[in-house]
Amino acid sequence: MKLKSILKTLSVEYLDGIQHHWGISPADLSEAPTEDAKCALLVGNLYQRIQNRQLWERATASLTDRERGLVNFLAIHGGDLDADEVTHRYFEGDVKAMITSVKSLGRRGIVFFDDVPGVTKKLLLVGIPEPFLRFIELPSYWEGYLGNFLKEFSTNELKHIATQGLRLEVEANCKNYLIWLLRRSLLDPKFLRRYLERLPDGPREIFTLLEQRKGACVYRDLLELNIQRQYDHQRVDALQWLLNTSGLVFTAVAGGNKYSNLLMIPRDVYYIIANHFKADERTFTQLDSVSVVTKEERPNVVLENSNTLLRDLVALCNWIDRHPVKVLATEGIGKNDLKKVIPFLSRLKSVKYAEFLSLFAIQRKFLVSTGKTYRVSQSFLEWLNDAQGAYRELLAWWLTTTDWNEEFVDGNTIHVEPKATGLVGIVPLRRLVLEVLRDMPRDRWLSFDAFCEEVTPKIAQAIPKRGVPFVYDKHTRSNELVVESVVAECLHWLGLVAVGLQAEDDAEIIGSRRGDGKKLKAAGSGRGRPRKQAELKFAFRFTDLGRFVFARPLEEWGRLFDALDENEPQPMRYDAEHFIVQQTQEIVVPPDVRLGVFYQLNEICEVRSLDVMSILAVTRESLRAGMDRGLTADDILRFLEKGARTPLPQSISLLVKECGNKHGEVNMGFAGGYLIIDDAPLLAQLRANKKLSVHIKDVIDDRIVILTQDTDIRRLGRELQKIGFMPRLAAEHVHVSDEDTYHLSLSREDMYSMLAAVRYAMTVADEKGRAVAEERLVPLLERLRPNVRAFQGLTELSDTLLKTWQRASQSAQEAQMAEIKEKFAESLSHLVTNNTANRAPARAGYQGPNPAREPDRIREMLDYAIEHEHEVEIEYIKANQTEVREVVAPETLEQDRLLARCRTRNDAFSVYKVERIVRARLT
Amino acid sequence: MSGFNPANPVIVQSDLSVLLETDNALYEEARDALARFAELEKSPDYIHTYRITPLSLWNAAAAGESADEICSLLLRYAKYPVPEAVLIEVREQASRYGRLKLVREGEDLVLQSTDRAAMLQVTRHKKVQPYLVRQLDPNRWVVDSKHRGLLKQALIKIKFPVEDLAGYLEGDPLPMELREETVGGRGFGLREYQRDAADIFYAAGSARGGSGVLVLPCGAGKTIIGIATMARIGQRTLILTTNITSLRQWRAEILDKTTLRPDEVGEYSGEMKEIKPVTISTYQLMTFRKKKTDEFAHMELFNSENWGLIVYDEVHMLPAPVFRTVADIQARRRLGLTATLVREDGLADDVFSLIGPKKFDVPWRQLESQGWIATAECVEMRVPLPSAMKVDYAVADAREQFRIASESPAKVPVLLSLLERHRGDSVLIIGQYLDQLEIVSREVGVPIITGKTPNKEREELYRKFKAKEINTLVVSKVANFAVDLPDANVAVQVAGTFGSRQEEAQRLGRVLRPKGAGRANIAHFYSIVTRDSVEQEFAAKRQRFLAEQGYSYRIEILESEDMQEAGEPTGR
Repeated sequence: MKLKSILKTLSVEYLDGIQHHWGISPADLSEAPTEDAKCALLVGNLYQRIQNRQLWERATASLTDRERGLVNFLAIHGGDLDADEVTHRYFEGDVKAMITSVKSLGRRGIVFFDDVPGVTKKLLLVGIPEPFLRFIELPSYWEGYLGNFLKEFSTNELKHIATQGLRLEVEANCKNYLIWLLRRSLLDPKFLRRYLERLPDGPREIFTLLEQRKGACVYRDLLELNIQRQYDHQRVDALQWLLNTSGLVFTAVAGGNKYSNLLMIPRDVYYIIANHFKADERTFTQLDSVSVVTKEERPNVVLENSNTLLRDLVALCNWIDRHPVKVLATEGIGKNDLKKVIPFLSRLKSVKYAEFLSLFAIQRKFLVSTGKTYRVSQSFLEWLNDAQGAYRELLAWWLTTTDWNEEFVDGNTIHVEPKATGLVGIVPLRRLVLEVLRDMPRDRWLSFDAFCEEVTPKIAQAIPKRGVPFVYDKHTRSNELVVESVVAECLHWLGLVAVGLQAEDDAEIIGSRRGDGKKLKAAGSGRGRPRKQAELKFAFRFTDLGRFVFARPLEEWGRLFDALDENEPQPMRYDAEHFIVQQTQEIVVPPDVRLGVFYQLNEICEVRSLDVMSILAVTRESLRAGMDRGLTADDILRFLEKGARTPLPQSISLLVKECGNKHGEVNMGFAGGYLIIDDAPLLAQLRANKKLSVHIKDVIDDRIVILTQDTDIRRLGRELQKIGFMPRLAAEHVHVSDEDTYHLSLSREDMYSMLAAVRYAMTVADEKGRAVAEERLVPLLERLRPNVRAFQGLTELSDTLLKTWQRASQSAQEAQMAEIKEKFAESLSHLVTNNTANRAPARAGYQGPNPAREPDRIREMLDYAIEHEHEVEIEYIKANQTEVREVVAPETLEQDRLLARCRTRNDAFSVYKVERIVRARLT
Repeated sequence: MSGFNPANPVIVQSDLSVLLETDNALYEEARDALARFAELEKSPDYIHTYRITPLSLWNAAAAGESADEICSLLLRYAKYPVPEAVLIEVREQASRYGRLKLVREGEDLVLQSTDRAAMLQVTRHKKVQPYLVRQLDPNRWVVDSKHRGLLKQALIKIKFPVEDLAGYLEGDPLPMELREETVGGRGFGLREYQRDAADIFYAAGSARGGSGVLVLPCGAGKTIIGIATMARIGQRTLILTTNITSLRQWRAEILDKTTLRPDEVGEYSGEMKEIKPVTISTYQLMTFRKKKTDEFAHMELFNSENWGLIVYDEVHMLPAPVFRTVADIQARRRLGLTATLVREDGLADDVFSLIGPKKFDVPWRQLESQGWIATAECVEMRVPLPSAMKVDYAVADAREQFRIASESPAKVPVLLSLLERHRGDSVLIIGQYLDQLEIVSREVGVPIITGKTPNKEREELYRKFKAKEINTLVVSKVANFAVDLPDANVAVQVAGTFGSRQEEAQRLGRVLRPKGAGRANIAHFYSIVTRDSVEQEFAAKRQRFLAEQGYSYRIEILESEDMQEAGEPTGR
């Protein structure tokens, strides 16, 4: 619909109304003598000005939802639609409502009636003037309808399609008429069916291929380039014909070159074909394929993680700190250990989620390996102080990491054996999903399947290797499943989208399927019937946090929460200080409690549930665990009294005190040696000495001095000698007690060398996959561990040493291999140069009959062949009475058996019964 | 955080539990709102926990609450955003009750619904199909009227509770009135909540009333409400209760507070088999049979008369075989009375479908604050184990350790000092081990009631206790159920069980009855436990239960010196 021509048809009153509605300063009509002149002035005043985006936005700001829907409905179909179709599909057949609505919008200069002159049948269109279509931004799921594609063509091109492609009779040479004509024909199921049947073979073959790919595919994939990448001109021509002449295939998204263009069958045409040639009469709401509209599809179970993500991370790290978890050789945490932590996280969480968080914590060095287990680092507690920063960092990590890869069914690619293969850059794929997601409505449930249909053709276009080959192994997964993992796992875990399921059990299916998600090849040899995988349909919607994050361009995600106004929503804010301690020994913690406080609570409590409120319980065991970490009963009471919003119940304080008393009944610890001094004045002198007193940990009974753990006994001895003592050292380095126990005194260097040695032996055992050290190493390593802080420094040193040794070992092994290879090559060349083939024929030196048939003669020949390293051709009766002829290189005769390498069967080592050799011939 | 409303007291968790802050200005308002559709699970001092279950939602729907109302209440009082999953579940479950209705059309019993999809889903279910007779139209099916109860059970199992509007058979009339002055000469009138409960149940005789459960705490006068309901209906009544003592108390109350004559109220027990216009029996007798293969002969009682009302006392203890019979007599009005809907056997669904939905509920604390039941003060007294027994205790196995700790003689002096402290009060001494109770009885010089005590002697002791002829009584666990000791205001537990929650509630219930005029309305509940022993650990579990029920308790730690003052034989 041409804007100017439509404006010219309007009366002065109409035009004046439009001028007023759009807020355009009125034209001066005083000079205009006639109505026509006034109209011309008004049109001139309006025409240029209303082609301004800001004015358009202002003019449409006051539209009702229904009016805005009509504008969108028209835009989806290219701007102009037959009035009958609008009545039928948008106004449920109510002509009156249609006329009223269009007239009302017409008075505001937005939607107009238009008729097409010069056609036999009167044609009334409802439309939006062309310039306005530029201002209407349709989300991707509303793009791709026939009218919308056709409007991009010139009148001549449209005429070409109509006359050359569809073979139609054209009555007028007018763009909106041609679009109407093409739409009417192609969206008529009968016409479409006939048209498709009549397509030439080449284009029809390509069209069918495109149809099989759900109506969207990248140009080059339709050419089906073979391995030699031979260019098939005929196919290209056929495809070009489809694009330029058929009216059935269009370029949806342009790529870097023609071959990367994303091609598409218009959605409405595809709808008719996919629904067995049923007419497309979908209403406006039904066209929104992404939003969940029917009650049957609405979820019964909702998974939302924005409020629990960081609390889960705290609970997970704390749990790992308190429980011995196995450190895998590749620095990960085993699944069996992670399974145990699931009950302490928020509802319906998977092991994969725990793995995701732990991978982040390990990579960020919040969980530090001590060789055997993990400990929480001090930096984690500091990191928790800024929750918004923490979240931002977690999000940034996910956006950039490749160690977590959604292409891979297990997610974590680091410690999984065998290594995942065929992975393609996940980072651009995530970005692509996020970009499509930005286009989606943010206020409603969205169907994942429909979202996937939007996203997968774009993946095929942007990341061509993804999803290829189409035969999946145990690691590779189809694009749909990868997108499922990005949306329903990572984005859900990160709290950006909520996932809606039909039943709780469906939560287990998310992210667990492989291949194409339908059938799975049987494990192992691949024999047996493929197993059907569980089906899953789900919806998702943006969370409040998701809306907040997606409201910002992707490039600004690194600056999320910066410079937020106090009046703006403040997601991820954790600033509450207080919790409630109940007489039932439960602590009820608000969701926004400072994460540092939450961590401290986790140190002395057990998590009962992590929900909107976290509920933790104080038990004897949890208190003991806290006290083991160095907290005293007083510390705990002080912390609880400070944080509790209400007075601390008597039962809790009594319990803490009681545990405090019991905790000290038996004391254990680490020390670095002892001094026994029977003379009190001497002891006093020692304690008064500044250099020496720093080494004193404790004095028992005023005569036994316990030395601190880092004391170097030899140096202390020298210090004592300097001030006049004559200490007697119980043993040099190794002291044997009465119970045949050995006490070692090791320097720091000795200690970490020893740790490295034990760990080296363990890695050797791991590599060999056998218990070469009879399981003695793990307990030994356990016993070698001093307190945590000292151990952390030692671990790093021993790690360095271990890596040096491993490198040395590696290079030694390589040198050894090289040596063996060299020797092998030498003997091979020796063999080759002395090969029987190069010698004179064996039979020349052999005196006996050749071939030999009698047993004795055969035996003689074999002896000769063994001695002279000749090959023999034998005819042999196998146990099943079949006869075979083989060339063998005899090695030895053992009684009645010949041991030889069979040349006929790739030098396989074989045993033959001499009596069954019926004929032998020296070759 | 968007949707955060710090002034509100309710937090809705995604597992359908609801937390309620008590120190909030909107607490009472929110509590009354929650009570309409959620079950109170725990009520310690600061945060009460409610749970929304399908059953609680159906109960609410039966009481006329709509799903939208429930959701809007949750949203109105929520401090943090309500998880969407909870609103979805509430809408789904609450809208289920009443979607199906059982009505009578002439002689036929008809299952009907306006929701055709629900009707289709239900009638295609194999659990329901056996009871369908013929289809009238897509929304109506004639069902087998003999299996009204079984059909209701089947429907609730597939989560489609049916609203039973099929009405009741009228029983033979039995005119009776409540007295304004009891036979004992005291003034008598229904309390407001008792009148409300009876009226709501009766529902002016319509089909909407006449079946259901009234939930009231011990001491709130459930018996009185039962009697008031009988008077409203005015028809022959069968009452089933838990044991013979309770049976006799019902009989005494009926004769004391109504115009019925003794010859109109019969006892159907092991001792006598009277069938009168009002007949009282026990579950025990109903389920009695000589051999496992025998029929339950006494179940005939249900059909022996044209009863207009059947009362099930302590309905949470209704035995499973009785349910089967109840399923066959759905055309009779039926009233369930209980202090808790929680059934440890998980048959709460059957109570809902066969007896009826909850019709009335008053929380304990509300009655306590109105002075209808006593305020409880719970004290745990921790007594050290005598030194001489420490070694025996240390080497014993766990069960024996519990016994040694429970029977510690060091408890006796503490008990004596407590009796001294409560001189003049009515004191019940409750225990687990008969040996210990007998020793206590001897040492303190008070009578004892155990399972072996003959009924006659038991009743005589109860009478004396009520008449203040004796004010201290030692009882074993026979006292746990349905024994009405109105004037006991102190209970001392010398040995607890291994931590049965129900038992603890019952024991506390013994002392929570309203006290006589002029006496402080405070009940004392003492638990004497041995310090640093397994008994203390079990006691901690029971205390947690008391705390969950909203009773504050304190702990008194007694040192050896205190004990010596109390006269402990030191053994030195």
